[in-house]
Amino acid sequence: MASESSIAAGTRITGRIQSDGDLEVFGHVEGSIVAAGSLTVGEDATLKCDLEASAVDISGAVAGDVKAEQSIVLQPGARVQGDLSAPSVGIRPGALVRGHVNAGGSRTATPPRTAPKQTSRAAPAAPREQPASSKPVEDARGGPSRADATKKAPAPVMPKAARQAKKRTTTKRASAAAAPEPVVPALKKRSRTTKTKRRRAR
Amino acid sequence: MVKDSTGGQRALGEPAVLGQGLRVVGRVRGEGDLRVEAQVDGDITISGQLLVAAPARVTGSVAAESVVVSGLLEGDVNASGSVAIEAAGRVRGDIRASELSLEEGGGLEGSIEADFELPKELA
Amino acid sequence: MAATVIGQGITIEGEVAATEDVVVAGVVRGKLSVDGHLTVEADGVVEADIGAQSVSIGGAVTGNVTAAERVDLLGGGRLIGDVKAARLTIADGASFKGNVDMDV
Repeated sequence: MASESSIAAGTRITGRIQSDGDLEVFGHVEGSIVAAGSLTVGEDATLKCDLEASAVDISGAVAGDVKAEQSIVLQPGARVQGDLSAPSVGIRPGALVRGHVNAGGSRTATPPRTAPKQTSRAAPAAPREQPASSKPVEDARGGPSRADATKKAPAPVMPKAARQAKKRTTTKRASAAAAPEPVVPALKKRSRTTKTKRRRAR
Repeated sequence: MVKDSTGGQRALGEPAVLGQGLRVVGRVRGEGDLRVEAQVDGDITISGQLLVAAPARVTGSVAAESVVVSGLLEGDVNASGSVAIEAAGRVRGDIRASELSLEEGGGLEGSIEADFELPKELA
Repeated sequence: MAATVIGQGITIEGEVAATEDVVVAGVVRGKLSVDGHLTVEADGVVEADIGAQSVSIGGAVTGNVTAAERVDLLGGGRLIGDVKAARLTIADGASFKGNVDMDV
């Protein structure tokens, strides 16, 4: 619906640009650019702004954070100082970047961490994969393989009963070693010695 | 062909290999090139090219002249030459290199430090 | 070099300074300076003072227009603001409210 829009090389814009379609920038922009479609930054363009679009293709210079719903591609001549965040990020050899990159990687590929075999190292590492910053890969990483993990890794969300059981029975133990043990009412009624024996045996 | 720190290219020599079934706990050091397909828990420091190839899982920092990742790497990457993350690669850690490339589909979560200057309009 | 085209789906809030021609079919609010020809198309909305070599208005402009050469207000165009230009035409069907100064 939106016609081809293009900010020519000699044009300077200071302010906010919003597009409900595609946009090409060859000039100088200071402020912010938000496009619903694709955003192309030409070779000689100089952008001092945050960029947000469905897909971003950069060949020029950008000082600002870049966020895309689908993909970010930095072409060989690109120079970017800022954070990049998108499910797919391509950085061609020759592109220069300085900042934090959050590239999800393909969702069809193997999730990076399946149930780790050893426990002590996994404990500090595994919870790190859950925070909001890994938004794009949450479903790739926190897939069913982790929820199914038995005594090898903590499940992302433990059922309430298991959490209560853990509080009661494990104080010093690292969370990784304490498996999400479902609380069986029948077992609870056993004598104390049995419980202690079981804990020691683990 | 890989790029070294001087920007020159050379053919990959015969690399040492840490094969698939291996599990290494501890530091790995060496001269020359190294191809890792194993699970390594520890830092890797070599003087040549490092290949972290699927199904490798490396947990630790790596330092080499150049690095190519198509497996899993959780740790910082320090290269005097180039770092390439292929589509199957997943890296979580900070990267220092003279050149970095990331194939679309590849995963990266970390900071990149490249030494360059922005045009003066963006200062 | 190509002209700057601000298409229908684009909204710019701020200052625009171009060294070449500009075509506005979207929305520009703020300030618009064109070292060339400015065309405001039928869908275009400009709420800004305009400075250009020449201006054609087929859309809606609210702001003062200063042109070195000429301003043409086309049929369907609406202009609310003062005009300062060496030449001015107002077509049949256009709306205009403002002062005119042709003594450039």
